Amino acid sequence: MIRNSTAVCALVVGGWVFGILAGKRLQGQELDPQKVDFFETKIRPVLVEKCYECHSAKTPAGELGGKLRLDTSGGMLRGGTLGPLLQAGQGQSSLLIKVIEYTEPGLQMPPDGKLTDEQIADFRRWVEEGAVDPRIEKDSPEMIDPAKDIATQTANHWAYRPLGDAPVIEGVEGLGNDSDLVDRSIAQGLKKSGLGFSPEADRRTLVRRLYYDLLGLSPSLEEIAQVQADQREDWYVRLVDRLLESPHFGERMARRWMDVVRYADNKGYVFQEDREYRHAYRYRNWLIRAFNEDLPYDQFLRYQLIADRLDPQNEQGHLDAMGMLTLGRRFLNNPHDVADDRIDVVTRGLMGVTAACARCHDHKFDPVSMADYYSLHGAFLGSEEPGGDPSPMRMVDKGSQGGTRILLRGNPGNPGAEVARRFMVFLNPQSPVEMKTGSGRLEMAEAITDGRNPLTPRVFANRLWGWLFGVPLVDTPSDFGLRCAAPVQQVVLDSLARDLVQSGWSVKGLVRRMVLTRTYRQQSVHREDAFEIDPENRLWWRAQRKRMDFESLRDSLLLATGQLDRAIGGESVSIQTPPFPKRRTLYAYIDRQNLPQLFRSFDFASPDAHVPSRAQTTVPQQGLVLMNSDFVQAMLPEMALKASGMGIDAGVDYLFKQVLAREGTSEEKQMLRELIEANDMRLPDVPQNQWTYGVAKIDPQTGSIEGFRQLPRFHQNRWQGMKDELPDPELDWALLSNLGGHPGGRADLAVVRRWTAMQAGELRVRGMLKHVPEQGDGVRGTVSVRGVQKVGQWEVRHGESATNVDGITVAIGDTIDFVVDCFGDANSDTFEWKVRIVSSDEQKVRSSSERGFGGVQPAALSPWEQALQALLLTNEFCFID
Amino acid sequence: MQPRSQAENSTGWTRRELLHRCGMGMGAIALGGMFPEIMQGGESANPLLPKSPHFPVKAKHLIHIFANGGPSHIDTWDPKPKLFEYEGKELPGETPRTERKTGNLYPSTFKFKQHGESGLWASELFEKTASAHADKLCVVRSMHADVPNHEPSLLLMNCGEPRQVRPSMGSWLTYGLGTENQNLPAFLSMCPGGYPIQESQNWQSGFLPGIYQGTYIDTNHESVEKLVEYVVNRKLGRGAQRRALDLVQKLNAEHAKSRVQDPMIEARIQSMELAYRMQEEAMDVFDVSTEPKHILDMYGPGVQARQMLIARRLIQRGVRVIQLWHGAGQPWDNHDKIFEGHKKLAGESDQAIAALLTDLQQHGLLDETLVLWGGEFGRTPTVELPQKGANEGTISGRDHNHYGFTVWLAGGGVKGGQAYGATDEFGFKAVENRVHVHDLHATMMKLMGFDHTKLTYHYAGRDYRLTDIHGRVIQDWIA
Repeated sequence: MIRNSTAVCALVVGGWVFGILAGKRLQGQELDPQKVDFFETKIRPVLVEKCYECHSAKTPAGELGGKLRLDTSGGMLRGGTLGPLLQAGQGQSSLLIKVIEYTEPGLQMPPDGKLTDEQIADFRRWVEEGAVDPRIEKDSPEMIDPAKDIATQTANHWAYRPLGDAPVIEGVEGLGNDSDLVDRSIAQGLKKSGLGFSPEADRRTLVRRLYYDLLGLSPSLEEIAQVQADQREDWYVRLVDRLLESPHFGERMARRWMDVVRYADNKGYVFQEDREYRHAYRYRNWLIRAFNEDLPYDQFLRYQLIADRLDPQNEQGHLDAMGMLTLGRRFLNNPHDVADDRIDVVTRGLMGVTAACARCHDHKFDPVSMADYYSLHGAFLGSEEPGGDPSPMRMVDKGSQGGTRILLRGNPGNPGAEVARRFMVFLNPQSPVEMKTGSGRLEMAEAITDGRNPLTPRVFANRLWGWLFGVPLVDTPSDFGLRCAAPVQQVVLDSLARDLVQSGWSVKGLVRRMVLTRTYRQQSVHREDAFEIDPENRLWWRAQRKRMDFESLRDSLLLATGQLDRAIGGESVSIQTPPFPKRRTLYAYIDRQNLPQLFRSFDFASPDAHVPSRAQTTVPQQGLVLMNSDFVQAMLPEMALKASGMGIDAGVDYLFKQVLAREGTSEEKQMLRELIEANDMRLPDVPQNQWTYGVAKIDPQTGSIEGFRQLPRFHQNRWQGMKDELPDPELDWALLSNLGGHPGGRADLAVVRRWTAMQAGELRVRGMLKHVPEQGDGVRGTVSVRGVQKVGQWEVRHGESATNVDGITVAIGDTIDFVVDCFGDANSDTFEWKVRIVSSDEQKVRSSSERGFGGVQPAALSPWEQALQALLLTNEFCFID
Repeated sequence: MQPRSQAENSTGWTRRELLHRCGMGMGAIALGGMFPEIMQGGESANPLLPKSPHFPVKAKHLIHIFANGGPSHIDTWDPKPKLFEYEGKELPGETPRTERKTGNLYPSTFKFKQHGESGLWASELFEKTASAHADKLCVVRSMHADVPNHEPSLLLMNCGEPRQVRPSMGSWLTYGLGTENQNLPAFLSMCPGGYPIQESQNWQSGFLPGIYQGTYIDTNHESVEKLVEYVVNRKLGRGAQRRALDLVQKLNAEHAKSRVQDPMIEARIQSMELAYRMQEEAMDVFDVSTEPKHILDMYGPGVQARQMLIARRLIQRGVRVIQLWHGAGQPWDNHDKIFEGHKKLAGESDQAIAALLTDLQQHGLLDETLVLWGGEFGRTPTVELPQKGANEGTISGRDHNHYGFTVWLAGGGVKGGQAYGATDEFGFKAVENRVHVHDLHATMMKLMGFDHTKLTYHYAGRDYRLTDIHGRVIQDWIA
């Protein structure tokens, strides 16, 4: 790409070298006016008319013919994929001339018609006279040579620059010179805009915030009270230090890291082989341990990249760390796609470099070449996974390798030139890191974790800030490339990144520093004055309110209802399968191939590829899960029972304290009491138990029902007698299904579908009664209200009859019975009777016999369970101020 | 659509947009019975709210009838009389490489005839669809894909990329258009009896936010509870739910008083109401038993009929994208006994497809619904040879064929009554007006109102689109 027109310089900073590729002007400044004139009158118009459509800035991306630009002098000179276009002074042998003369087989331009002889002669003359081209590239930003542009920008790009020394920032606004540079820098920015920090949040808010950010859990009322009662000056620091020592800290951080490394418990789509990564959980265990033990971040990364060299026998248990590389999708075992996935995790995840773009071509916007990409590709293709002991997730080098081959356009069937294996040359262009040991993974790991590499600490500090503060400093946490502008708070970011490296890469130390800042401890309350000036809170005039992520929400539900299993580490569990494990959500089995809708609805990170940051959507499916899911409903009974046992006042008190970790106000408690008491007075309100299924004796004249008793057994989707094979000695052939059924042979064995009204109103019945068999004497259907009043009756034999009744008035608790008796002989009495109970205007279906059919009814939620669930559904429960 | 940066992606709106759009704040929302109005016209952090495409078009919805497994074009929509002349003979020239070895030429046993004013050819397999709708169909006979294998071809047809994880067309459309009914999923993939090959990757959202992923529905189930996860509360009736939710919203209102100007808080209040209403709507839409008898009869019996009818009910209610898969695995993949197999499969779906088109038209919905029928590839005009472990060795089937196959489009601004492009005289390779899957996508995006090169999403350092760097809009298909 970069030809002799550019020169390579280098800027040496502390031994770590950053390259500048500086461009030179392609031509002399003084051009022969006559030649310019010739170009403008004879050449340029033809280029515009005949060539620009496919060879200029206006050509849609990806459709640029032969990667050739003819709308700039540079493009003309550089040529395209076929090489240089012009050999100045040599008209006949220049490619351009051959092509327009149609003498080059298979390459005749313009494709839709040869230029006139006169035009061709002009071009030949123009080339022979030195191909003078007055077009200046800088006339249009779009016309800048991309490679040259990248080179210039690379040299100046904020994220690639060394971290340097801390700037001097005077104390401001009550912050002394001993205060954190982060606060001073932010305070200074606020002051410049006429703003200041929001007041410090109250203790309760800070406790909830810290528990959420550091542990992913909600504090109990007691835990909050304990902090509130702490009279010591340094109560806050003590709280932070206590939480950093909690084993739940490691869990919280591990799950965040699992987003970065696209963790899942299986391989994705495979053809026939075993799909499971049965040992994936060991990687998660390792992460929890690493964060809890505050394994320095550089080591943390090195184990994940090259534990095969650092702990080959797994004596310290670090080999499982290689799960970061090996637990990705398997793409039907296509080695190039597998390698691409790993390159992506390593480059975007650890360094904010979007290297995967360079699989098919040099990166269009960033200084990543195909050679860079294929050096990494070689590192992964040069490694293998032997499986088995001492860790099923380990990766080892296959053996030493020479260079690596570029695959043209990313196509494995189209290998290109062999290139030296070097790590991200733009980081160190003068003396790039040679990837020469084995697969080269070793040097890759060392270069990533080298203290002089500014990307690794910047990217991690930014992620950490985003996790703790809710919004990262750099909007694109996994793309620190040239198109990523320096963040407003670059001083803050660099200070944190510097600190990370200088402190010996302590993650806990960096977390601690962040949460101790004045910036972190602010209120999250809206301020109109500040909002006017900085609506996006880029200056950090307040803290960011957060909505619980999926894991914290589920964990907090379990915790609030007293169900949470606090065990640390262990195998993955299926959280949607009864009996609904009570483990923290980070232990949920993650099915990469078919991630359940539940996870997607709550913005869970896709386990398919590295995720820079989670989406935050608000959709009704989230509410449905909280209201209706059996796993949420299963959390309720224990605590509800306990509360109800305390009596109404104490019970309501208790629920507020348990769920919202505070006392309810008197109005709130009153509302909750009213809900519980009102529900206590009502019939249990369950949709399905509007229908019950039984047998009875019916008086066909009056419609009065005697001796109704429910059918005792639900078997193969129908209600019937106790014996599997009918007839049942007691209940004979009596059965009811979703569509219809069969009456028994005795007078007291008419089958009855009984519907109970949950609200008063005027109703209509719409239905169709069908006698199915071709033999028998038919059946009789009766609709009876309150078990006493016949409102409709039909006799059907080998056919069907509409069963419509209007004007039925019911009160709550009234029944409508749909009765079928054998009408004489019970042989061949199978019937279908679908009925719908509709409103008097027929606009609303109150119930349908088919839809309402079901087996054994789940018990309705008790009034106390309903009250508990309501508190769990509140915004207060799931927002963190 | 402007590309959005990674951080902006989180809600689908940029931070500024979000603040702007939600600036109405709590003050504008009285709690209580006023939610429905706000839900309909209101703006929140919901990324599924309806959005306008790049240019105005008729099509608002997409139904993709996926004959998965690879239906044979030469037995359905692409007659090849020449095959009779060459029956049992070798294909002149070299036989293209497909998944398995194939032998001599093998003509169709199905009778073809012309239909409608346009005289469109179709075999007896799709007699009902063709006789009722020939003049609405744009039959593309010159499709081609990349490889003769199911997995990559399915991903190519659905996501525009054969191997890597990329968003499906339905996800792109949902991202670009939102949906008209917030009480139902925006994008549904229905497949009776389980997943097709490659499973839910066929309707994946890839790097787009998960909310744009298709919702899978196993239409073998009849109860709504099993169709849509968590839509039924098995332990609480609507009245009790409403009372509990009223309490929740009162507490929320109190909570929100001191937390003004927070769109996320407001959005969650609204979403709870949406959730409540979604239960009713979902119960209703999947219950086809409320349809009149003549409609049920028109669709006929069986699960294909039921899911096509559900599709019409969903479109009526504003759902954006629906995929209708024939069945789990790869039902149309007849390596053996293709004539029996195809007769059965077409028999299950022909009447229902014809009914769906008729029904959509009767409801005035066909113009605004783009319908695509097809598989991931077609089949060879040569007979598949016995191969150990691969087929039953009956020498009565056809192998996969990605060199040439047929799909058809209807409704939604499509110019009907035409057969576009052609395969060679034996039906092996597309030769005239060849259409790659990317071109199909580009044209479908156009029909849905998008310049396929401009509906993009910034991810991993660059702007991605459904057609990646490919795709060509075929104007001849557009009315």
